[in-house]
Amino acid sequence: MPADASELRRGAIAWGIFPFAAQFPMRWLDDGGAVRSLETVEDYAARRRGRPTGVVSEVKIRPVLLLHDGTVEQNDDIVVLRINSVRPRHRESASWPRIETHEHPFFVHLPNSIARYRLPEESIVSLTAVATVHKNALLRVRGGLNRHEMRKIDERLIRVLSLELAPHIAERARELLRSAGISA
Amino acid sequence: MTDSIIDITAEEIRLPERARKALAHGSRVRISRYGQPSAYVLGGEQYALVAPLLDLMEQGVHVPHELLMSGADIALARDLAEDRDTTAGEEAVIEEMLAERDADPDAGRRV
Repeated sequence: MPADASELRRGAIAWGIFPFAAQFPMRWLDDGGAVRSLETVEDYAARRRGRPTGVVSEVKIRPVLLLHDGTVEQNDDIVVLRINSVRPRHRESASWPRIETHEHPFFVHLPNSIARYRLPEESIVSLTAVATVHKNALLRVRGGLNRHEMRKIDERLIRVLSLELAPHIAERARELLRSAGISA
Repeated sequence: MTDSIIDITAEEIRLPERARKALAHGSRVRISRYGQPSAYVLGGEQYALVAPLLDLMEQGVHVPHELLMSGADIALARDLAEDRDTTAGEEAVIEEMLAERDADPDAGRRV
């Protein structure tokens, strides 16, 4: 039985199926169920056009960070960030010192010393690894980040996703001024 | 060029010989303070390459995040995306969740 939708809260860490990105060469299943291979996306388009296609792809159960509440059961999908356990080789990366000191804009360090994450290893959230997963592919919710930590995630996602917030902020400011009886 | 730059003379900063040689060969110099990177020194040619990017950022122009990723960042992102290893700790968590389900099908739903 998958995780209960009522537990799918922004900032929660859930364990579930996270796919490896489909790439080429790609193995796919023809109408008879035989495995075939296509070298490029152009080959695929020429062969399959717009038809849905069964492909041979890999997935892995991982922890993921939920980016929004997903408590409405009728809504199937939820947007998450991938969480990876840290391997010794990751610490050898030139990027590591900034990750460990929480200064890196694209990776967030989750140290093993913080129990509320309920992660078995020191881990990294990759802000460039945003994905949509089906809620029924989430096994359980365990642990999570607090509001302060999620605010830090938000700040970094603004840059990664190229969110243009200035017009929104300006409009909100005008609304506040109007509600206060001040003409903008 | 950016106007948020100040000029100092070579007499005001003493770089060791190995740093001067590195700069002459196009390498970058990282200055650490208490074990943490505190400043970077680039040669003139390298600075000319990144100055337009710094100008854009100071002007508030959006710069795609990929342009801000170093080679090490991109390599690490790829490594993490392709990471297929499973640790004993991860296996133990999955076992624990399955055991919770076996003991009480609703256990994990109330975590």
